[in-house]
Amino acid sequence: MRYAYPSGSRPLEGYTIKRGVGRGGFGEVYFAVSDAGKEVALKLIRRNLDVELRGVTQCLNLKHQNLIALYDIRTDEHEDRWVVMEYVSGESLDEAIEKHPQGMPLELAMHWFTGIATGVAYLHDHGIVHRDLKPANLFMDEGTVKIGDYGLSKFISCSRRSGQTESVGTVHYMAPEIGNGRYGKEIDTYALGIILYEMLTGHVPFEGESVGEVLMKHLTAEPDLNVLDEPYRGIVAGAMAKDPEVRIKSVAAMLDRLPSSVRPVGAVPMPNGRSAEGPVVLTVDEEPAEAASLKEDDEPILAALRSGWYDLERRFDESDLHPLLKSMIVIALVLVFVSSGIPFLGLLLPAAFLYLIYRTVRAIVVGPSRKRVAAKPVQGVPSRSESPGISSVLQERIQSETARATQEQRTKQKTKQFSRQDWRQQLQEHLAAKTMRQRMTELVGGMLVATAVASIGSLAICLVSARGVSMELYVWMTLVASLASWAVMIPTRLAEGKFEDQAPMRFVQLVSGALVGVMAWGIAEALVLSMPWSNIGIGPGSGMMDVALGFSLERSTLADNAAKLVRLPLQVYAAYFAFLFALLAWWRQAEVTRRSRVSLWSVVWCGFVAWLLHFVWWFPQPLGLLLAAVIAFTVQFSSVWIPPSRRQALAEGEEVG
Amino acid sequence: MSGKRIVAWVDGVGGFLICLGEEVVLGQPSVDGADIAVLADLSRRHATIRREGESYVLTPLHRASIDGRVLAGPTVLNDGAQVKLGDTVRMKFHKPHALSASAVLTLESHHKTEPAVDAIVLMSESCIFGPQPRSHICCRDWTDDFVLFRRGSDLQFRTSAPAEVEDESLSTGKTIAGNCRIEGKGFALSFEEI
Repeated sequence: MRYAYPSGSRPLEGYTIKRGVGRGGFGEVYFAVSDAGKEVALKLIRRNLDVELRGVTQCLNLKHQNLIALYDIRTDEHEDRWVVMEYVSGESLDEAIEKHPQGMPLELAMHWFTGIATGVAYLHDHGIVHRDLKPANLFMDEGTVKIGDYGLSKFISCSRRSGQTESVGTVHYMAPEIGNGRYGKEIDTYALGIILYEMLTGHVPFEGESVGEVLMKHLTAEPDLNVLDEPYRGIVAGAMAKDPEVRIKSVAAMLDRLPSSVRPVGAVPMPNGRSAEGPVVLTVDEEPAEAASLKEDDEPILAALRSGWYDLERRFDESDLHPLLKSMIVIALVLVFVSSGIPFLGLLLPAAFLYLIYRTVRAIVVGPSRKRVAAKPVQGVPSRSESPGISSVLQERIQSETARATQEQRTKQKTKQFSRQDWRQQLQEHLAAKTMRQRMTELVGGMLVATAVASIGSLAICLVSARGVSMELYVWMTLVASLASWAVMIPTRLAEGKFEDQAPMRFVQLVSGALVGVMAWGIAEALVLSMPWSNIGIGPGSGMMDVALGFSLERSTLADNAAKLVRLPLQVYAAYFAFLFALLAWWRQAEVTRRSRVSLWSVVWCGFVAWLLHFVWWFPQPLGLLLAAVIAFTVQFSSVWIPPSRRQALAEGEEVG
Repeated sequence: MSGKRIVAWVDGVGGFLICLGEEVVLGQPSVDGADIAVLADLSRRHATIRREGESYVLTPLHRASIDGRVLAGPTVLNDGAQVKLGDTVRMKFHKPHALSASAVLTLESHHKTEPAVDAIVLMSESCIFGPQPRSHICCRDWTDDFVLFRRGSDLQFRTSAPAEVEDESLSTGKTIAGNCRIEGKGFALSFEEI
């Protein structure tokens, strides 16, 4: 433990440092003596934390026996800020708990707890959320409980998006909703529940070997409360509720539930008396957490659409409906859409066009300034709409912390981590390390399965949709679907864990799509196959590109216009497949980390995009969209998939089974 | 004032008054009064503690008791003795290390000493700073011991962890004189002469 200032140094006029006391998230704390002999603690706050200091300023004049008094904030010659505060020489709750490994005597625990809760209630009453309650911040000085570090816990109204905070709380006491960027006073209630549990049992309810493990338990695990007696069991259970809405409403309410013998009388300064159901003192607008996925692009319309879409997609994929029922819903939706698609499209296309213009203008006008704001979040308080969401900042912080923790742990040959992004990255590394032989084995297996699945899928399609079962069509479809799924699986498997952006994958797909197109044409020619088409959208040769390029299908190639059968030239196949492949992120469907093995949603999506594509570049429909759907299904069904339950284990270094 | 005193400021641990004299005076702070000055309702010279070989003898000059027994004359202090001076000052006497005659006094009542320290070491030949409970100055998070010992009239130190003295006047390296700071892997402490 190194301290920047040794004993005897005088960084601040009038104070002589005696020794380093500890190190918080913000900086070092020193024990110092003023020239007149006043003992103080000096907390060094490194520059660029100006935003945080606003919080301390708000706390400077709070007065409560259970709070460590703040005297002043001073600036030294290096422009570093120092908080001058009361020096507390007694033991910390941390040390007190350590003395009682089986839990401290009830009387002592209640002495601590009532002091802590009274102080926290006072803070809440003054609109301040501590956010970093933990035994190391709580002290017993001459029989009085003292809460420390609250000055740095930020004033609620300005803290929500100040972002650059270091004090996010020790994970053992961290409420689950902090991950979502929610910082209501409920997080203090949660921490108090944990502290009460720890005092009475001698250990925290959620223990783990890594930060990630503990966080995960906060989010999912239920604490073992059987070791506690009533009423403490009920209080801890109420304070540790995962959902802040169901949690005990206030710290005062917690105190009220204590047996009257230990309750401090009249110590809680609640303006409305000490009613448990008293109105919530803090009137803070709880900004709901934004999904992390919105971070990269928060243009409001798109963001809303996207989050709605993701939500729908996730719910659909994760719902417990029978797959058969799901398929039927999907088919029904598709039929409805196809049958009513044309007028619908008439509305959709102009809207999309307008949006495109709006988006371009927005990018020009708003884009550069947004970047500037994002790069310098500490310079003053950014306006509400332009500020980076606290959740994303916290997210980043958690990620960086994770990265650091991971780094530390890796040295111990113990890699555990918690955030989704992080295990993704871990997995990515794991996958990149796979040998060629492993890849090939997986690939060949997958390709064989793909052929089988493609043939079944094609058969189903032919039976259901094609007018009159044609053996040639079935064979063509099977072969093309197999080839296409191979064309997705091979590059994906080979590139696994190598690319982080999509540009190279898109390009590879464009090329392989064109190849598939060529082969599709070759097979069709060899089978002397005419493609059936129905007019769901537009007829042959009227796609936008066909028209724009003046490329029209010659009448001679239309084998039988009345029967709606068509034979297409090579370029139609090649271009259609190339576009189809480049448009969709097919590799995502072959990734081992996709959300579910087969997502009907993305199958439908692929079909839909294929259908949209034919407006631009005509291809017989519904053949094209059905084929795309079969390819999507085949790719997903036959690609290796690691169930989410195994991913954690895998990321921790287990071999792929 | 009956002997040299230094304060060891140990970063992250606490402040400790180390008394090097054979006899220390306990009492209220005053210009030429107590070695161990307690800010309490005591006399300026309230009692003395004298080292005699391996043991310590407490001589009451004003009202004092050991383990509840009011003292009439000089009494030997045993390890773990509870000393009470006046009506309110309570302190614990310890000889934590079997091989060292040095003793530690810790205030148990909430009184402050001058200078404000966490414990007082009555140092005989050596004073051990380390992670074990038998150390005179217990430094929980340390990995190695740091030993302060007398050599002639000098104070020197040894430690198994690499350490450096941050004061150029200490060219001799391991001798502690005046105010100096010693830093090593995982620890740092400063000595202040008073």
